[in-house]
Amino acid sequence: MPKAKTLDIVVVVVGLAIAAFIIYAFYEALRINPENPFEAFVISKAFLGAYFIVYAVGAVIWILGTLVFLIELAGYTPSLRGLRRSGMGVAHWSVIDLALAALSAAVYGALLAATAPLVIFPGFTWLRPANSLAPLFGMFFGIPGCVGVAIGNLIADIVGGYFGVGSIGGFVGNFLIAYLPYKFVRDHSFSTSTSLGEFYLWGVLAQAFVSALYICWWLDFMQWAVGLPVFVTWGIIAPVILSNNIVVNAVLSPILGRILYPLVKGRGLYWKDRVRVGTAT
Amino acid sequence: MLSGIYVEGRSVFHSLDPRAKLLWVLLVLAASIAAQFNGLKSLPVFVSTLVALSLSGIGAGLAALLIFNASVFLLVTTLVWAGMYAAQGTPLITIGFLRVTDVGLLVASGKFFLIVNPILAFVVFFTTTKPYHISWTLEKAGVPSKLAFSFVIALSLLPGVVRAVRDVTDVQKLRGLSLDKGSLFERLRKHVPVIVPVISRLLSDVWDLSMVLASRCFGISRRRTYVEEPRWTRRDTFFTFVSAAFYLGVIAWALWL
Repeated sequence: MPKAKTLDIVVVVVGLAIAAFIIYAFYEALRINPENPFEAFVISKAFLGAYFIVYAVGAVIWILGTLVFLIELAGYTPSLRGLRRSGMGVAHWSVIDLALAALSAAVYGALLAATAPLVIFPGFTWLRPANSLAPLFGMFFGIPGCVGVAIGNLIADIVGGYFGVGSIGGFVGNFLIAYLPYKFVRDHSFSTSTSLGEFYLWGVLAQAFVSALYICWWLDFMQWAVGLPVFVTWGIIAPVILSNNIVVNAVLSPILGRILYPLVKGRGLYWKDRVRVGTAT
Repeated sequence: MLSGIYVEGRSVFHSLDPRAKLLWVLLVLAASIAAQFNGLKSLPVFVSTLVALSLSGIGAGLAALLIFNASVFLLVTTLVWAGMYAAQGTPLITIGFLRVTDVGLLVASGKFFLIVNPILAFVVFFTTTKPYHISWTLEKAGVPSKLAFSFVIALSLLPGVVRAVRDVTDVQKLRGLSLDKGSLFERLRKHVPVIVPVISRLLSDVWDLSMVLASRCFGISRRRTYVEEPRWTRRDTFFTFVSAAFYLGVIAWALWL
């Protein structure tokens, strides 16, 4: 078996193992401390125990993530050779890109608002199946899909009554959830081991850490305006974001991606097909 | 809840310029931040948002619904802050490990209003401002027109998509889908028959929407034009002056008095 294929399979197995470990850790934390399971939850303890390191890394991720967000919207993309024109900046959007961004946002926001979260432990943690669409919208629709995910999360905050200063972090954080697999996953078909391996690396593991650190660093930095104590931000919210994004994307996204990729390609909406023929003017 | 976002009406807030309303929201946020360590000083801001809800024709009942919706989250946050200040001030309530002092209660209530006040203010803004005017306001604030327009279209389409999601869910349930039975992983996988039809419909709607936009020559010119632009009136000036006086007064009271 070629070495690359072996590596892809290993990444998938590791991703699924991490998702299973998170669920197991939930059960253990609840068993050890039923009154306050977050005190015993290993991911909460990791975030709070290494607070200064987590805060420093979060700051770096926040700066880089925000820069990438602004650069991509401006029509450029970072590469190993520096910045190059992507042709997918907001100013270059065609009416199809605009429609994709708007409808992605409406669908993502509606699914977040209209589908009930899967409560694992009441008041402790829950999973949102709709989160599985975020990396897929980025991979299938490109930057318009990434922006659609960001706007959709903002809309869900508005509808759910959580709109505030903290929503700014959620806006760019959700953009990054869709952006990382769009940028780094080369095969979006979900039909090969390479495709799955790359997705588990960037669309399951990397985006979960980046989004949790980005959003929670912002909530911590803006504590004076948001009002959330540090323990809630890093002990509850960060583990919930991380766990939700890993478990839901590991289980649901590959299934949805495998089904939806041919539909998206067949309708002529796959971004690589459209950008290649120069429709982004 | 809030399935329509914008609620048609002829209230005081409906008639205000969206820029005046946005400025009011920012003043509510600033005053809530300044008074976050003293709930008594933040209480007038909270009352003002309830008044705004009444003046917008939405009603204080919505405030109660929003607060109830976030009650568990808010209770946890409030108790955490009260606990952090448990060693300061005179004890008011002591139940087992829970010790709430007067200082802790003031801080906890201040933090509570810091979260709730902006939420209520933004609800008033979005429910009394037409999506068309929200787009106009965002562009005036410097947001790229295509981005602002995407946001407004998504807001407008949201009620229809929510209905579509619920219809698909009901139809699939009639076909035997049970979303609340099975193991965690089974329940996750059972959302596939709900999500795929919704996305399939999205893919069709994209072409329809893009043709509608193209037929209206959207994007032909760099600067978007508007048939109806809000106009700043003396009422907006009066409202802004009164809001600034009130909230700046709260800020001064909270920070220096």
